[in-house]
Amino acid sequence: MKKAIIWIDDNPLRRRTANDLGATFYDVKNQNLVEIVDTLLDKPAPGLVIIDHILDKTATTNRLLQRGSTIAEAFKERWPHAPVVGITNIGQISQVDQRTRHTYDLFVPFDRFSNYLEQIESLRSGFGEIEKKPPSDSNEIFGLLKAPKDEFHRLSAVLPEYLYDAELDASVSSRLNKWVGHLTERPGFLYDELWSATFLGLNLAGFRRVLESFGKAKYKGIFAVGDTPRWWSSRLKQILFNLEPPKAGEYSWNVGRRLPGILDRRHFSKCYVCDDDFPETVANVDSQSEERYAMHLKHTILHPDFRRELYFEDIRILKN
Amino acid sequence: MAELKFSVDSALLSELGEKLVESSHIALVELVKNAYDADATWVTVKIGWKPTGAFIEVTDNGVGMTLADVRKYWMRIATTHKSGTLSSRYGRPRTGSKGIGRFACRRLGTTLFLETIAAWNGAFEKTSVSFPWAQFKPGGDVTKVIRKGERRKLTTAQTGTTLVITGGPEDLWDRRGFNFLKRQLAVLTANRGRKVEGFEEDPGFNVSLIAPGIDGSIENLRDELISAGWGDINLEIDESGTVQCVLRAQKIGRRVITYPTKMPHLFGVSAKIGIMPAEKGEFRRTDVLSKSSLKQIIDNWGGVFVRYQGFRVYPYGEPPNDWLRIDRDRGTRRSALPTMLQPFAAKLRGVDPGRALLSLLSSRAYVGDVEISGPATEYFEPKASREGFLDSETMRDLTAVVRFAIDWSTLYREYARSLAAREEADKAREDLEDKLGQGVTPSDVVTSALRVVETQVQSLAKQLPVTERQEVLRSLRTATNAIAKHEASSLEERRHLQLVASTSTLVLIFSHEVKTLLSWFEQIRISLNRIEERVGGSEAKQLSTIAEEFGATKDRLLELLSMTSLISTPRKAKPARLTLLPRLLSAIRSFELILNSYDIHIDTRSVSKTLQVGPMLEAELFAILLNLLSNSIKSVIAAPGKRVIEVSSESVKSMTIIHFRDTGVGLAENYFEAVFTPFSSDPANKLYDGLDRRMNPEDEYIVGTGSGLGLSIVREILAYRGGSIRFIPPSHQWKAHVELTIP
Repeated sequence: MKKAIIWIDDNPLRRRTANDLGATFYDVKNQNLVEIVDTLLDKPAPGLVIIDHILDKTATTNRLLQRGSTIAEAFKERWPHAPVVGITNIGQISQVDQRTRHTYDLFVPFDRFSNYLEQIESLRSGFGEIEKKPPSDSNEIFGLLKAPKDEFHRLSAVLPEYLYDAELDASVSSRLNKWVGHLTERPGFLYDELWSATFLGLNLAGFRRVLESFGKAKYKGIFAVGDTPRWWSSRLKQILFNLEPPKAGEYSWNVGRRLPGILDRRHFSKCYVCDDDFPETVANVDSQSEERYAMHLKHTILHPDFRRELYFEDIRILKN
Repeated sequence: MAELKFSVDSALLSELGEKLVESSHIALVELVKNAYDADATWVTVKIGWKPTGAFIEVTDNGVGMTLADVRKYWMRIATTHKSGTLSSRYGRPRTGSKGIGRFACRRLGTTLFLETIAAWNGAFEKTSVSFPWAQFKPGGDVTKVIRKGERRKLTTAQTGTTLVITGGPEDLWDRRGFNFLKRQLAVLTANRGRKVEGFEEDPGFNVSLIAPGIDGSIENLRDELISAGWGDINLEIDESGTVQCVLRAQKIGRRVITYPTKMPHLFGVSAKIGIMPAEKGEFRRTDVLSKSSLKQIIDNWGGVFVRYQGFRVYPYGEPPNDWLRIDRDRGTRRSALPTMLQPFAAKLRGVDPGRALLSLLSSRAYVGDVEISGPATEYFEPKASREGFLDSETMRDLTAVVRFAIDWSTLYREYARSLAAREEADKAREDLEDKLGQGVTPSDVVTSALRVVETQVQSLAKQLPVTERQEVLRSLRTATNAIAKHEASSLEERRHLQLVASTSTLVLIFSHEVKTLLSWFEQIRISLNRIEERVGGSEAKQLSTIAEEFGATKDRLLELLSMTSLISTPRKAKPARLTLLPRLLSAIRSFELILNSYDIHIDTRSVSKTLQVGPMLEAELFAILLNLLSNSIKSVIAAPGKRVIEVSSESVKSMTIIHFRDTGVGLAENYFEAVFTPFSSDPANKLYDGLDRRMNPEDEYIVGTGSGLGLSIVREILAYRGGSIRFIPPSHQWKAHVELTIP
């Protein structure tokens, strides 16, 4: 039986969504938040906590309790295996500092809550899985990621200090979630759809035609999210070269175009800048925009806001 | 060989005492300074009148003098008891050092009586001696005048010195002299205690002034000093944790605010802080504070000290400590108010909540003490080094509360300054009225002032020869006409801006409402998806379609909202090279509804997808694009026929040229410049006639109702970024052509 979901909010209008998620809604508007939280902490650990970040409409005037992050800390100490999701309105997201955001396992704008439903479910199941069998060393962490064996060595090299063997206490779920977040956000070990397609020399339409062949490359490890899939870059290459052995001097983007199902140039990747074949990278259109396209390296420069990281791709922007 | 030695004429005493010390008021100040240098913590000065003349009594609780000290130092001309530059007990920097202050007493009366008690051999020694100055006659040898002193041993006593001067001139003291005395002594009372390495801790210095015949009595001159600046804050925290701040200030009177959060753990904390800006016009008590004395006070004793059960805690208030983070915020020009003060600031007319904190004074200009006593002491833990308290929630709360009070007072100071500015303007107007002999309304000030100038110049010009007179009058007419026209246009612009500003407030309120609505959209979408999972079949498909429509509408509104907040709050953004096409497409999407309704086609195919502009703020680029698109859209709606807008780009050397062409109502060449004048909306009167005929009035709000500011804003932004904008004659298939040049 799945553990309960708790939703704490001072906006009673959000009860509808809590009900849709099967969560128990605690409407704390004009209520004594301290008493409610205190009672909750005596109950068995839930499977997931969703909490409003701004709790300024409760009966409590104590500033310490007017932010969900303070309460999240208490929950995380008492229930380290229950993920805590913070929600707030979209306009307030940027006003919350990075440290406070990291109090939560996920911090999302409520105006786009539906975009995160799969991720929330993945958090819940991931934390549950770790609670049942917590990892005791880095190999078990890589096992949870279901990483290819031949990637263990490179993953060890980038394993953050907070996941070294000595740090694997009850709070490992939150820290592992943070690291997986980084692995999925920054291309390198894992590629998103656009990176995967570009790597194979295809555009998105072309990649979707050969998707099935690369099923084994898809990331299915802990905290995998169905609607934002990722693929192990090393496995993409392995599967590609098994399907279509490369000729001398050929790159993955040359070989990918010979895959069965790829009809013609309509499915080939093209450089956003010059329209020529074989773009090698993906870059943003400028430092302020999140729009990304496949581009030739020569048309791009390093993004000024990102540093280079070992075994990860560079984040780049269009060169003017 | 004969021996020769100098003797000293008694006239030297008057030379020293009366000529080196300029006035009797300074003479008295010198006596109090002596007490300060003798490490007194309190001095009482009494000034009064007896039948024998004015009398002065100065009593201190300093270290006093033994008979030997009196003999060795007091009676020896031009020597001082003050060895070294620091006082013996507390290490105070000496305030006087000439060793002649005591002779200045001659200015104050005919007789000086000295009584002093000093610690001596485990007990105390009291010495009394009087000096009838008449015995020190000019011509006589001062060394030959013998004064008999009394000496007594005491087992218990309070050390200190009392000087009683009698027989002073009747007119010795008036209010002006007394105020001078107060200002001078107030500087000394700013010493609220300090620990100097190698000395006992100085508890501070204070003065009582009792002068019933002049200005009543001042029991505690330091309290008067703290209240002498622009204002003072008194902060008290009661048993329930209620923090009450009381501000008494110039032009404001008494105001009270309660800190929004209760702080029961701070029960027993209190504070009294003087707010001391450097401008003399902002002093409430010029009898106690002068600009020069303020500088000494701020330099030596400025800052908010912290006391724990009466004892000063270091380093709070000592330079460079900035425990209230005032100097840090001034250094970074932090202007944003804490959230809890924003609603309050919004109510103060003339105060810009976004800039109010820019007028924070330096931390040294807040002079006062925070006292921690009572139950609160339990929550403060001094560091092992005794240098301050350990960082704790309580200490952070104390800092927040005191800073809150200071920020709150800063808002009121801003308000007071705006009141003063208005009063000054009113005064100038009244002066003008006096000159004109009739009333002047604020809007007529410039016109009336011009009339005064004209009259005066005309009257002066009458004395000039005819040719020169005509020349002067011609110049006068040209100048006054220019001023009058400028004033008329400024008034009109201001009226218009007031309306535009009101609209922007409404837009922000509306945005907030839309955000709430979007959350609801999101909830409906999730609910529909959940029901869809349960029902299945064709009903599920229908629900899915509805959910998608909800989602699409929500996403479009979110994009619009994010653009609104980007433009209205661009503070965090930084100028960067920006790719034009994605922003152009985003700006076009915000007009999607109206483009579809009126079948308007916007062709962007000729805009290079790699073209970048700037460095500029993203908000600026959006402001340019939205304004130009809005103008073109209105224009094509107002005109009959096919509605097409084309945006294209080209690079010329280091500049980017962007063309906006449309098939709208067009613009005659003689208006090519006029349309960039602020508030000049539709100068050719073609646009709005056409819109009235062809546009649904409800849609006006989507493309803007014509503030007349759009093009002038675009030109300002481009000029700031090194670019330009102009209308050029369109080629044959177009009606209007705007050309932007951007670096």
